[in-house]
Amino acid sequence: MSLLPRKARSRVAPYLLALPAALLACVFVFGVANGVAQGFGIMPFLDMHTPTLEYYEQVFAREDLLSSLLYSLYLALVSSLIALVGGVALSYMLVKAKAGRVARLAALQIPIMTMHALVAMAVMFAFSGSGLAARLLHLVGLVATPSDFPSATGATSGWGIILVYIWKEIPYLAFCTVSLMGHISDSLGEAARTCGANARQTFLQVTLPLCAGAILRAFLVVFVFALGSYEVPFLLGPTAPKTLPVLAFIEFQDPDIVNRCYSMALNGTTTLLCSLAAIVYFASIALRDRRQAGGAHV
Amino acid sequence: MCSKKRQGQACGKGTFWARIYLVVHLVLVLIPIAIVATWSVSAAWPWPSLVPASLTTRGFETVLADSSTGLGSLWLSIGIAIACAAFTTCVATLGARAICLHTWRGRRIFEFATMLPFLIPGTVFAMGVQVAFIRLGLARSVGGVILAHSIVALPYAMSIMCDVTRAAGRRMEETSLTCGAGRLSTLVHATLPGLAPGIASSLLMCYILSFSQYFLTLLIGGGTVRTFALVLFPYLGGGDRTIAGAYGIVFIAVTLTVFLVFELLIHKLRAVEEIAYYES
Amino acid sequence: MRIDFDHICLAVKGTPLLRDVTLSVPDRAFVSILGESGAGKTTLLRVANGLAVHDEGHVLFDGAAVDDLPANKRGVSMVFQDARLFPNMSVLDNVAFPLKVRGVGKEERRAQAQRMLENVQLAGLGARRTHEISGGQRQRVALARALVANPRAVLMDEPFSALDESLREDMRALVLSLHESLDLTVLMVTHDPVEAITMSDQVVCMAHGAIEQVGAGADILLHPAAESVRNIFKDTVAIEGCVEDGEFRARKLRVPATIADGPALLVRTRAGVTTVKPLDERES
Repeated sequence: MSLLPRKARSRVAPYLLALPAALLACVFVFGVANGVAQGFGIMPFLDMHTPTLEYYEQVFAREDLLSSLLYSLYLALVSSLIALVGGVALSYMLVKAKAGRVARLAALQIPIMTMHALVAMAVMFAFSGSGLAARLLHLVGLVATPSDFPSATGATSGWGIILVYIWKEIPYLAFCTVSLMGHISDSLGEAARTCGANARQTFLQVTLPLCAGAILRAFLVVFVFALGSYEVPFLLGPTAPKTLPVLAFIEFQDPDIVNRCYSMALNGTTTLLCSLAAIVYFASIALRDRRQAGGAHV
Repeated sequence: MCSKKRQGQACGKGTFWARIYLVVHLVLVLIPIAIVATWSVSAAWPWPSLVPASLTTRGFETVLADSSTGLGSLWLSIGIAIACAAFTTCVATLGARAICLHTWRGRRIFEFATMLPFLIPGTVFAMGVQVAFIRLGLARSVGGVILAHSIVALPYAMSIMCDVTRAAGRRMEETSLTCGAGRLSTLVHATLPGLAPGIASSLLMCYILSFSQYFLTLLIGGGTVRTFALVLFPYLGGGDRTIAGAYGIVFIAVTLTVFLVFELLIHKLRAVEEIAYYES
Repeated sequence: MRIDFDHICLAVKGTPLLRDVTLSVPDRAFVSILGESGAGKTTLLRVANGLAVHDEGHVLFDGAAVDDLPANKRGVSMVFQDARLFPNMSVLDNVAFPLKVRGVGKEERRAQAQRMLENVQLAGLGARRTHEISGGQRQRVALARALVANPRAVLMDEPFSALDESLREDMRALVLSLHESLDLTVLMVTHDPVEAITMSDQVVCMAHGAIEQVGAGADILLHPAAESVRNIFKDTVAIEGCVEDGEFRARKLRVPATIADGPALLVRTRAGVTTVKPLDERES
């Protein structure tokens, strides 16, 4: 009675299970790699096979590149950091308030369900020159005409864009951490209380360290999304500076197809920034796995 | 809320202020939706009045008209979103099993590769892959759009399925096999019920993602596949706020309905397994 | 510290968990609460340290009511059935945690934690992570953590049930010796009747949320006051001890015996008949 077929089957099993997802991931990597290659001038269907730096040179020669890059980073960083603090706070409050199912759903799922572009539209309705906020201020005499109100649309500080991001991402980050926080709070939270710790000490010394990995990964996802987002900066962004994806798409739509290379060089710059986030993410998972190998799930 | 002072510890100051915080948060969540809803039914809302001057249903009539830009695009979007959700969740369930219940060479790389769409923006992917999709005949097709949506939805589904798979482990399956059940029976009666809440959660998340996609659908669908999000977007830039509002409200209403259906499903299924999130 | 439960009532969603429970735990006593699952033992413990809030009645520490005091301010520590060590801290930091939250400086609290680890015979394990030690070691770390801040009383919720028998014996001996040397008041929940009657000064038998009997181990053994108390001994039990001065002694269990002094075995059959027989050294 040979064990070989069973052993062989169990060895092959994970590879078969992973195959569909691996194929999807391959298409993704292929798409991104293709794009990066185009940034280096490699477009096989146009018979361009030699890598060149000329498109990157053109990109970095742009006078507005630095401001676009910094603008993108600024919007992404500010909104993700606010989302980080707000999301952890919201998660904590949901656990502390012993929020029931309905409250949790309303607080978290409604923003998750709403398209970013719709939120941008709502911000426009509320905070444009003739928006609701301006009308309220008109009522109390602070604003005379629509042009007196500092409109969120096209503001260089991007406060409208940041507002859209945090409305969506605070609940998303809370969603990623609330279950874990609840479970830790239940059992280890009780243990900490019997040790004499008050709520703040329990949160800072037990709950937060154990949620840190999940929080970090959610933060990175939110950061990368904001960095690469098109819809919201397109709708609410100023004429200048434009964010990198908006710039890239403008160039992408140029009738001259070779201009694609220029657009992809811009995308390559965004990808480079995101790769840094990816490295941190990968390190976080590796750390979690190492701890998990010993038995503790962090 | 608590009335007795004795309940001080269980329902104390901390819980009270936390609830106030949540109420404020909920108000902030509902205000933008209320604003969009008001615009969706306003015929004229001139400056500087705080309420619409007159109401109309023309916004909803346009959105729900039996045309390719109305109901047609809505049904198409729902169909694509359901297909994407089903496909991605299946793929993620299998992949999560490979990561969580087996040790094999390349597992860490695989896990990381499936998380990549979290870490490289969809806009970069869309612009980079468009040419390849055109040459493969996937562009301008519903199939191509579903595929593209599934790729960006994959990491969301994978992280949900990994959590439930890890928590459920092999316990139920092993028990079922030792009772003499066959592989299929084990799958249906032991494995899937344990994963059910995660599967429902993943289906919901993928549905929302697909239904909300604009840029990706624009680039891959090439204007031929006119989803609801695609039809809605141009109105958001300005112009007719009534129609824009109506599109927005219909979007939210449809997503909310799907969400409530899933929520009832998840709630019924969650009673099945008590999930252990950590061990110490 | 004396703990008094005064007419404690607790119901959850209409189901009563504790029915008019009145109990006094004397200062420096070792008291066990014995009973079936669902008897309300753990609930009573959690009412004592404030993790559960009762509906009626009072909890008093040394005569003063503590009902309004939150759990972390009661000065009563707890050893949980599942240890509940903090995975993000080393063993030493786990033990030092109660001192840290009371504001004790780093050097001082680490030194005290190290001493407590020595008390539970885990001197060299301070630097380990919680997942690197065995189940029995984890429970001892939990014990050390519960004792390090000089608690007024220690509560234990079935602390040995997750361990295997030989480990359990060692742990019982350890807990008893610490109880002696540190002058602690201990309230322990257990479902093991032999454990309860040999370790405790007093045994409290509970059933369906009410106290059925309170007494020394011998009373529970020889004079059960209720059916539920009689039924606490599931099987025949045999307890090793020795007879001195007309008394069978096994740890704190004292049962009158008529046989000669020397090693002895107390046997209680399932029917409830208790006999003390001499135990021949050569047979043990």
